[in-house]
Amino acid sequence: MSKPKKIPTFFWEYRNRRPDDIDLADYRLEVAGAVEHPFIASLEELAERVPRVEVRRRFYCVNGWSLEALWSGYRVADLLAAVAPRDGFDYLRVTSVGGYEDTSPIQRLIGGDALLATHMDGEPLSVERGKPMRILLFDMYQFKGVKAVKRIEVVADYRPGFWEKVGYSEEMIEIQPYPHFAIDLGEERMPEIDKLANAEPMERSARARRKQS
Amino acid sequence: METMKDIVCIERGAARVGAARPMEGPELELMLETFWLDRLAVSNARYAEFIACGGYRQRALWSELGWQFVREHDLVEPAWWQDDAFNEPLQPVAGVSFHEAEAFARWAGGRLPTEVEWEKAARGADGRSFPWGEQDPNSELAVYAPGFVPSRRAPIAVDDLPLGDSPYGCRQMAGNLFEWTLDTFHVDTPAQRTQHLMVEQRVSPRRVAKGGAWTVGESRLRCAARYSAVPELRDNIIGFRVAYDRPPGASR
Repeated sequence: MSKPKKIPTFFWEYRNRRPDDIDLADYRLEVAGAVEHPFIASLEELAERVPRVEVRRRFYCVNGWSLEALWSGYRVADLLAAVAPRDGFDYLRVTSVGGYEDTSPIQRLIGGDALLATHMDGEPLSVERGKPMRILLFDMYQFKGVKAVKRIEVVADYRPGFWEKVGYSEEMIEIQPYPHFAIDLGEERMPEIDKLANAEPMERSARARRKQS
Repeated sequence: METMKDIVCIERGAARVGAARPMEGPELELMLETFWLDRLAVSNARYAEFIACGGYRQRALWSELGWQFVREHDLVEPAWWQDDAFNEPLQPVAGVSFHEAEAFARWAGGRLPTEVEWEKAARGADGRSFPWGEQDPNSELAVYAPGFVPSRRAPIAVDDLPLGDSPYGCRQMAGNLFEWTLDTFHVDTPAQRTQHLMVEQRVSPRRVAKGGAWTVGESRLRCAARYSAVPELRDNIIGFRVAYDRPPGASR
């Protein structure tokens, strides 16, 4: 029997209060900016425009934990293919229902197979997890994964997001090669990111330990 | 010069540092010279004196990189200085970059501790896992996030939770806020420890932060655990305390 899991959440625009619930019947996602085919869509309309996918993947929080789940929703790459970004507009700006925004290079989101997730383990995302959809990044820390997404724009300019303004720079987004607490497993695990799997420090400290013993 | 000082002496002797875990190993015994360390993390009240004394305007207090950073961003106070959840006088100052911590330390007549100094002050001579011993953390010993789910969303006053004191009487060396240390962070720093290099001197964008914070779980509260951040990070999870090479009041 699996234990009920408590999952950390930082939903910064709401700080210490529960985010407002979102009426799915009224909800519309806007995909706009420098694109050939902008749209505003309900959840049903979105599913008609972009293919739905399901992936089992683990994400990592800069605070030192990780969570694997079955996520379903839309690949950012597929979403962008549906709207056709114009050349020379290299960034994606994502804004939440609460007005929180973050900007990322499009190539990085596509390269990391970022997801616009609507479901976790078969259930629609709860308010705390980012109802009705959130960005998920799997190959870097999650602090750029905007929750409760309302608007997605293709833009030419980078604008630092909330956490970047206090120093969460390019350097800080790289997942670090030390154990992270896997919330779903209840234990510490080394990151499974390919480039970290054979990271130097484990090798090196193992060698050093052998030398000592 | 500031008014408040509350400092402990950590006398010359062995220090057990590191742990047999990725990025923390190997465990090692090192000899450290006598140094002094703030008993408490630097509070907002104490940091306010630094601001009032023109700390952000005195070039001499800053490293070259630090001065460049403070001028470029026109900094005059910590990042969370106006945030009511973080600006109580007795809360530890949060939202200070490594550069600001370094400038404050210089103004206070000291410097930031090295990682092994910090670790000795937290673990005592016996090299315990947590400042209070081997017992798992609980809410009377530290402010942290059990299972990485925060029990509160801001640090508590710097003089609270005496049960969590280290053998030297240093308070809150586990939890509440991470603390900046002098060391730059490299994945192979533990190997450097085997050569008894006290401070990693090579160029790295990251600095070592120790002790854990209100955002992290049990494993990151261990004294040997190492976190790192770019020196420009001004998040509400990192503060600092000051180390001194001379006893308080000694002439220079």
